[in-house]
Amino acid sequence: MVFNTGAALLDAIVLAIVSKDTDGTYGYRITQDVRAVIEISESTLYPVLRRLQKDECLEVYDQAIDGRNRRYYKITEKGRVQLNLYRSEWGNYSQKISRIFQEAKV
Amino acid sequence: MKKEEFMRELEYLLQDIPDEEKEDAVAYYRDYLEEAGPENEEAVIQDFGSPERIAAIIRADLNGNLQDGGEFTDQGYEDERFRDPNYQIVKRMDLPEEPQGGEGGSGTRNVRGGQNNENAGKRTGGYGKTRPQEGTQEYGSQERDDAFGYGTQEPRTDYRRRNQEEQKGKWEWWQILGIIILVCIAAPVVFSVLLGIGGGAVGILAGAFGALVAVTISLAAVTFSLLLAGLVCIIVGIAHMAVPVQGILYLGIGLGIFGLGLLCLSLSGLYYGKFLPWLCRAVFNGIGRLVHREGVKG
Repeated sequence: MVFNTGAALLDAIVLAIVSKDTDGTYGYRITQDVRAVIEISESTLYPVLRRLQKDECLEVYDQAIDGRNRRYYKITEKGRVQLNLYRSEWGNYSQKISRIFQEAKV
Repeated sequence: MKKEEFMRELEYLLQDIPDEEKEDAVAYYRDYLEEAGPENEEAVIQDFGSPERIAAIIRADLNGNLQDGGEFTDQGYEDERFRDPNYQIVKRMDLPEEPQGGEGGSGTRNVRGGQNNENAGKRTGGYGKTRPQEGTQEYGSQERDDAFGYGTQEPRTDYRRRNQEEQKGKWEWWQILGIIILVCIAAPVVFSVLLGIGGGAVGILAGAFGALVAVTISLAAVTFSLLLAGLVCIIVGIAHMAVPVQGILYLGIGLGIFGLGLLCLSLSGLYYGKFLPWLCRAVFNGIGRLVHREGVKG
């Protein structure tokens, strides 16, 4: 991957992935889902999730599983609004960039 | 490194951050390792790098949240996962640090439209500010000193330096041009001033010379005419001695005029005999000195 994933884009990707599960999902799975798309290390997402949680875009709840707590992340209404914004912004952005590449003479 | 060891070290390293943050972080990473399962544990821990690295990430993010603008002073973290097409190691932030986390919060980030763009600008600004401070903690082989530390920065630095050099050259060029323009503007003024002074000096000199010539000529003329008039009067007086009153009057006037003439003659003697030779010597000496000095200069 030669292109960098900025903070906003990573936020958007995480919000999008979390939003797919209505019951929420947990850190390890989110990381694996993101890693399936872009190259990030195992340790990347904690600060992102923590921040999104502080910004009230994500909410957390704990569920006992196998005798321990698993922390689930769930998108909030605010998170959906934010995700929607990111989506339209990305649509504009990626469309423009794609057009440039299509017009390019290789 | 085993999971337990890793977690113990991480907990130890996070002693100084707020309890809530520490518990949250420790719980997340423990949870993460549990989810990864024993078979992936080692790979995941290896990917984590080291407890120090994870702690640095957490702390940096915290600092980014706490401090407005997110400038953190401790070492950051980076990763060498991304390679560019030339197979050079491209440094990339392991995670997006959060300069805007503290100031922006969810409030500004939820606003649509123009303000969002502004926010995006802030983010970029934050990047610029924070990036240079992140040293190479783990993979310290490559230094990053560029504010836009993504990717291959060596060429960037070069480009910047070259740019500066170009600018330096430009400056010299502009300086020269400026000097030329300045000279062009200043020349008439300077010339006219010099001309005025020179003209004045020449005028004074000419005046002085004129006065000198006038005095030289008139002194001789006055002396000559006085002597002549005196002699004529004396002769006329002698001729009129038949009438003694008239003769004596003419004789007296003649003698008086002749006496004045003699006085003028002695003055002339001084003037022509002493003053003019002295003046000539002084002028020639002065010119000689000037010429001599210029010769030395040249």
